[in-house]
Amino acid sequence: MASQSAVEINNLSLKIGGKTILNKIDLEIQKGEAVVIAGRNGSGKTTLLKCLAGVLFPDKGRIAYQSGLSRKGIGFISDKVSLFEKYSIKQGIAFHKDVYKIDDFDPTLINELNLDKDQKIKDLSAGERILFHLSLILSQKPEILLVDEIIHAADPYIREIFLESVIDLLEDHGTTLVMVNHTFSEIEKIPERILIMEKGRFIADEKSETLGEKLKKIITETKIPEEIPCLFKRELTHLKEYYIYPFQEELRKNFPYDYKNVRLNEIIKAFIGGQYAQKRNQ
Amino acid sequence: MKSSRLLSEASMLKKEINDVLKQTLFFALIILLLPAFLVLTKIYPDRSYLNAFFPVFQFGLFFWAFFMGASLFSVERGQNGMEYLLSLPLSRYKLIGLKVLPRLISLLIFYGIFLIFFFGPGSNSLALSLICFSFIYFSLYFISLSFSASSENFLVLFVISFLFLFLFLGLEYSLFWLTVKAKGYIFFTPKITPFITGDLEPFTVSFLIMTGSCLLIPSLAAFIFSIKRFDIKPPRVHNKRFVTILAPLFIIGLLASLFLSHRIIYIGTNDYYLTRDHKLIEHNGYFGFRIYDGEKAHKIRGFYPSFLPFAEEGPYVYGGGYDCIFRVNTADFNVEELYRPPEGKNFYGAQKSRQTIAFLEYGGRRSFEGIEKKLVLLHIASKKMFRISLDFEALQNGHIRLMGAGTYKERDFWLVSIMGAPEKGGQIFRLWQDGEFRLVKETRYIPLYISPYLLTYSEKDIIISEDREGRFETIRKIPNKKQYRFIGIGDRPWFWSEEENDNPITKLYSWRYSSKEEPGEDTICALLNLETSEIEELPDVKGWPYCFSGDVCYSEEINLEEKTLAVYKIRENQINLIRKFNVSFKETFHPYEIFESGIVFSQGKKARVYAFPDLRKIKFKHL
Amino acid sequence: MIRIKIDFDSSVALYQQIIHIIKLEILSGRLNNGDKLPPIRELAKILKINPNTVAKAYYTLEEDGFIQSKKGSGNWVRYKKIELDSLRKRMLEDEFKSFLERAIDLGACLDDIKNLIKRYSDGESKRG
Repeated sequence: MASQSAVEINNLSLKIGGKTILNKIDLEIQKGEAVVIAGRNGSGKTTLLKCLAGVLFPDKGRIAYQSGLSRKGIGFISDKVSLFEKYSIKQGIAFHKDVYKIDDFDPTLINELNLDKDQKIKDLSAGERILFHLSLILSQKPEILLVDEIIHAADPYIREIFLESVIDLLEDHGTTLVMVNHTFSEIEKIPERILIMEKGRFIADEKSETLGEKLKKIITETKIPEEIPCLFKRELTHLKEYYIYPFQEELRKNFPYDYKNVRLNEIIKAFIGGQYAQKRNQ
Repeated sequence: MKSSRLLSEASMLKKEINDVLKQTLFFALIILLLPAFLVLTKIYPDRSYLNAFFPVFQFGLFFWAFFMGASLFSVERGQNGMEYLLSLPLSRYKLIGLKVLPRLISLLIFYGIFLIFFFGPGSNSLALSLICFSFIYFSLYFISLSFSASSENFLVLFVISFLFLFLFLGLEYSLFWLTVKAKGYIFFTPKITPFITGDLEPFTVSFLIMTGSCLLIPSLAAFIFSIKRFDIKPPRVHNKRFVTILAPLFIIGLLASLFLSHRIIYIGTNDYYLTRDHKLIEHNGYFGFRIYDGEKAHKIRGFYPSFLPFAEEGPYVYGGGYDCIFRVNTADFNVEELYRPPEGKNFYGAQKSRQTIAFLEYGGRRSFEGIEKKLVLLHIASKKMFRISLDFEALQNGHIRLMGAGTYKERDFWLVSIMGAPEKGGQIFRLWQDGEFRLVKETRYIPLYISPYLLTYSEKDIIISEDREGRFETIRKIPNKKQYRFIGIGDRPWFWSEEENDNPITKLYSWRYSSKEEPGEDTICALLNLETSEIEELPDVKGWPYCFSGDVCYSEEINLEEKTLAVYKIRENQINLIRKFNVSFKETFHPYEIFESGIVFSQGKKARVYAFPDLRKIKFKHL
Repeated sequence: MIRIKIDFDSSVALYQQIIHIIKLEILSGRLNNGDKLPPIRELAKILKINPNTVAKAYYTLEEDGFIQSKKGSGNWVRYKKIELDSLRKRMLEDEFKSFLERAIDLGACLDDIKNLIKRYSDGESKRG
């Protein structure tokens, strides 16, 4: 376990009811890294995150955390935004403080939304609940923050507050961030590293900086030569779309197509689509 | 205020206590209101609130035991809090422990309340016995606790728990039944009713606790071990793990239960008889007879609910309780029934003299005052019986004892004493074989017959009579200032069997009652010389004399404080300590019995045998 | 006031874009020597990007000699005029290259471009 690693996963496997959900996963995340795990529904992203959170136990393999990390150092918001909903906000805060042995709780987020402290958690809207959960976790000052795909349930205002809080966390504490998402909008540029999961394995692991350089799209009317590494293609009657990965500048010289840049959503679609293409050809 | 001072565990515990408290209050409310509802709506007609309350309470507690076990995660499950719970900074074991603790305490508090009711008001309205209730109450809790992670559906848990409970109870009953049969108690049928009514043997409690634990601990252990990997996967993953651990543990528990129940279950008490040739007869009303000859244990067939041995001759031991008179052959291990009372009749007081067994037969129920009595003389070889009606008025009152038999001028006779109330004394009659019945003597205290002498007592003297010309004539009167009572053989001090003496008896030992009419520390033994009519005091002789023949006399001295039994050999006025034993006098029955050939200690299930003359221990295999 | 517009579709790395924008601001004179740059987290929040990216941009700018970071107080614009001139020249050349590429793509020829320059410079001098 390297000293700069926040989390190291080796050979992680998990099956439920005979179905393989995680398939021998290896992963290393550095301290302070911001990572997004993308993929389709059912690819295993949420399962992996829950294993990291200690809420699920894998069948095989192990997870190692940075030395000195206690359970309090992990902040986890599940896809269900699980809390003790019958508590009021006040009670929820008090319980979280006591159990995690936190001295101060910063009510900024709660005040932003003008939440009544006597209101029961189950009466909050989805977005309010997310922010409340986040505020609890922020007070933990976690070394590792695990966030499942919840952000799409919130309105844009709440999403912005959420993101800004996460940015503060990254700046103030160098927190390692692992997010799970399958749709992207504002949060696209927060993660520095993108992992794409499909059927319990990683099919892509790239820095977001370089991913844009390594994956390009060609739209053309004719078929492209075989030499061009095509990850995924869509051939309609007139137009054809080709996703090229890995892209290198030399390709431009030999094959002077118009290589378009692709945004994150499409990148993920291309990777996933490519998996299907592979499967069909087998 | 530093909240970090409070342990994480304490906060969790606080939460759990709050949850349990809320549930408890809700439950208490229902328990208090339901009887009122039942009474008001006349579902329970003619009952007062209190009378309706107790059964509701008792059965409500079963539900509570189930609920306290099964509801471990119900609060979290009911509010989408499972993932939050499992991501808290507490290990799984601590989490479970902190959840179980307040629920267990609640369980115990309600049990305490139940006990208050049980020993106080309403003890009649509670349907189940204490042992029955407690057993089900706690078993239900542990069962439902073990299954608490096996389903997210409360109804399913309810069904599983109660199903398992019935399985468990059935298993307990089967264990009991199997062990009883395996141990040979073929005449004992285990019944469920005593369990419900609480009319149980003491060993049943230890049986239930020990075997119950052996069967329940595997479930709990399997639960605890499976909890380590408890997560939000569907319950069937947990269940698979749970069953995998449970199966082998349960089998071990079952084997342990079989072993334990075999050791624990002892039904009825064992009676022992040691023959002259050191064979040990063991009788238990439920398994019949076993004869140990040192090497083997022989089982004897047949159902003999009682065994009161009254004579031994050659290989035969004669016994009769309340069922029939029979004899056991210790050589070929057969039992021969000699007499069975006809319908509506009973018998008692069997004694043997030569080839005749004499006993009293009376009609009616088990009261033998004022009912028709007959003296029966049974000829052993032919089994012919000769019945003599005891119609005399005198014979209708008082306790009849057969003192001995004899022959005078080729006429057989029996001596019968009839003792009334202690202040009144009694009479001695001679019954001739042809039915002639004559009053022989009157006596103040229990007389003694040693052919041809008859010892009777007046207020102040001992009167020795001799059988002359068909009548007993007083030959001597010995002043008895210190009120000695002279004893005969063994534990039937009024009787000497003629055939058992080759040597004529010339010396009799006595014991003396203290003023309370009970043998006490101020007992002094005395020796009566029949030839010289002299009474010699034997202050050195301690304890109770126990004589088997003219020469063979022992003394048994019990010290309750030191819990010892000292056995001495008495010879005239000399005593020699043979051996001292440590005895526990806890049990109500006599922990040992002195026979002519030795002493048998039977405490609980074990019997130890020590043989005269030196009281060394004899080993019996298979005992 | 900084006009920041990030092109998320561009293949140019984000931090490079930020550097480019700040250099533009400096060259245009909208940011002067001694001006304070927005704190890293604020820029990150506005742009919705990882603060590390902003930090990387600021770090590179400091290495290139355009800003200075003072521990605890933030980042300040600080440049030498000579550096600025050479930067201006380089950036102008880059812009010109891009323009040329796009012009050729339209099908324009060198003469078209020369005429264009003449027309615009005449127009500018007329306006004075």
